[in-house]
Amino acid sequence: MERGQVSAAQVAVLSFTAVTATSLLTAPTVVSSVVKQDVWLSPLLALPIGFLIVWLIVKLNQIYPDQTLVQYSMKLLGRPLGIAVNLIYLFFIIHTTAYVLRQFTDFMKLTFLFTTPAFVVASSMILVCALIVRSGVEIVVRFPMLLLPVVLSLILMVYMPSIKDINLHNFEPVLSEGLVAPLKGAFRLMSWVPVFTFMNFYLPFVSNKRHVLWWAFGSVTIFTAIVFTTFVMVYAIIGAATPIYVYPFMVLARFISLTEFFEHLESLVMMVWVIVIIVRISFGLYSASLGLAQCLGFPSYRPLVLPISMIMVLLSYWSVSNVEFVFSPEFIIYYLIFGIGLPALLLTLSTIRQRFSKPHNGQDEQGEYNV
Amino acid sequence: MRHPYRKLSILLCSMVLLTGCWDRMEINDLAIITAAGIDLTDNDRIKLSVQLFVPSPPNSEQSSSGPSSGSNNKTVVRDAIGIDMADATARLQERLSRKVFWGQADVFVFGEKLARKGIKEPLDFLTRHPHPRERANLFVSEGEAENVLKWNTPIERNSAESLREMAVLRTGLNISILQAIEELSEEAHTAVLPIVRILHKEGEASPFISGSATFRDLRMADKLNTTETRGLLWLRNEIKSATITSPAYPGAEPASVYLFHASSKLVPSIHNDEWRIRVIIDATGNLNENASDLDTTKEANVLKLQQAFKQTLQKRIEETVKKAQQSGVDYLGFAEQFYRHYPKQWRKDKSNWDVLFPKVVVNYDIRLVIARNGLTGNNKTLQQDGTP
Repeated sequence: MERGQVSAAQVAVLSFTAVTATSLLTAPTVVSSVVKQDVWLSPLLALPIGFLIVWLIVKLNQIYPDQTLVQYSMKLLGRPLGIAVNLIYLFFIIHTTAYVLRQFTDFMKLTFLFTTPAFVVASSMILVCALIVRSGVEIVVRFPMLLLPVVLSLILMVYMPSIKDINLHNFEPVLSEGLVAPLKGAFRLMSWVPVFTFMNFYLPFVSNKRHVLWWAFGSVTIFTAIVFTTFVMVYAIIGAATPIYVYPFMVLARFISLTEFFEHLESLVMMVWVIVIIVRISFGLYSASLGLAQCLGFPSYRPLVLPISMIMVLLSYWSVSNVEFVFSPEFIIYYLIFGIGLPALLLTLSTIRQRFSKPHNGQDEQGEYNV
Repeated sequence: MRHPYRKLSILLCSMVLLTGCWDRMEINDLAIITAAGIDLTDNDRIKLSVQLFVPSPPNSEQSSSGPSSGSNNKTVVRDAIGIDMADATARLQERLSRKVFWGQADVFVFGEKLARKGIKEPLDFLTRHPHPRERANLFVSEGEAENVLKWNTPIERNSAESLREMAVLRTGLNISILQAIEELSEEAHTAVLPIVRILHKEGEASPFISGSATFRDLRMADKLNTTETRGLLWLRNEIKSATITSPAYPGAEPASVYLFHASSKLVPSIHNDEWRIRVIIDATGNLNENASDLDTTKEANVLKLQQAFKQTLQKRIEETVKKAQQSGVDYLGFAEQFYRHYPKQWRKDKSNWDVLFPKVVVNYDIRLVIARNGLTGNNKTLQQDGTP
């Protein structure tokens, strides 16, 4: 159905860029509204969960090296149940990616493009992503590799001039309310971390499978590091006022005044935002298209890309009336069910099957266990 | 390359979108606001007055006389009355031929009457609206804010610019929107803003920053004069440079020191229900003037001078602390310090803070060093009754 060779490092870069995407702008507010000055601790507490998620996905991939989650879930759950679960899972991918699209259009409409119809903003974005996805897995995976240096240097251009405004006393008192609040914050981060599961659609194309687990852990670690740095920078500068701003990172960029000459740097934020959102949406769009094609037994995923894109644009309007509601606990549980629940269930089923069945399907396992 | 025409058509489509013409805004369609004043009318409505930047048309051949000085530029002030800021802005728009643009507004002045009633409503507008910048300066004006905007400055481009420059000089407070919001979200819910006063001299009005206004629960509570504000700056560690003048010893003629390095720190402590704050100040300076008969080349005399300056400085800060404790409004940042260092006790006694704050014992720990004596040592020729 799809041919392509990518490396584990490339998948790692793709995953952390995609997961970081919206967290850069909105996560400081979402987390600090419950955690306050201990906000820096939450990403570190979320790290083990991230490790668990990628470990589950990589482990499943080691058992079924050439298959995506959609394929082996049909094998493990039986065809009718598998298709049903897959369709719900694919809806989850499309739905959450549509949320990201909605967040993107909202940000653009609020801060830069006031009069441009939201439909135009959303559909031109999804058009670019559809083009990338239709070009195949290698393009999807290499695109972030190409633009990562740009993103990182733009982020540094926002952070570097802000260093002089840092006030580390904003983090005092440390842990005054114990670990409960940081744990709540880590829970709120769970509307980003489970996105790492989309990785399973890319792992079958990885050529150097031996290193995949370490690269996956590395990916989660870099994601945590970026979120941690953002939290520290934002809270050290904006302090207790962080929760009132919807886009604190943007406030940071606007607050920069380097010798009264470098000002109004918010356009940098827009550039970062556009690039990372393209990565995030193509990450989800490719997963959804490939998954749906495999689930329905299509010979190619390409004819599905544009219809799914259209559904995403529509869903981004139909399903949310206001993006602020996205971070409710119910929604995070929805993320966790598909991010941890489903892979964990599949891994348990496959270990049970392995133990009780004759080793007739052991063919594709050999060679992967001597890692 | 199988479908060259399809790819071409996609490229053509993106060409249409890439221009971004939907949000095209020509600069001559914009009414660029450089400063805004917000007043309260007699019937409790918001009066928004804005200072508009009028780009001088290039055909007015005035540029031949070198770079045009600031007074050539006309500043136009327009106002509108509405229920709240947003409503007033909408009404202002009705009276303008160009679209109101907040992106360059660097100065916001609240009229005193509005400040006494509460600045919650305009602050919400300024933070929610995507255009006003977080670094814009906030001021409170004595009397109507509109008068400050109407002032035609001789030196700078407009009054907004000169107010901002005066704030940056840091003789008084320099408070941006973000800072005000930050302070209001801290434990004590207080804030301080610089006051603009208009000085009338020979029929000419010139506003300047004089003192500061303290806010509690978003309402203006008290006014500090210039010296009290300086004391406040010391406590907030916002002193960049300072000149301290005091008699060299009791009864002597005055001497001055110019402090070019100054930093301060508040250290809280709680001992059996006695809440204390230790103010630690570290300052270094050069001797600026010495009219007394002390020979500053001798170490003992320099120490004596340092002691005298220390006492003056302490008195200056004490005045501010006393005033704050009398008014009961904690704009000194004590609450935040106790919260940061004693979170448990703070949470317990937080509701009691209004009673506790006036009783906080303040100690001073000032280290002031005269590093250099200036270009003259013992200036004997200028002593009237030359010591032998």
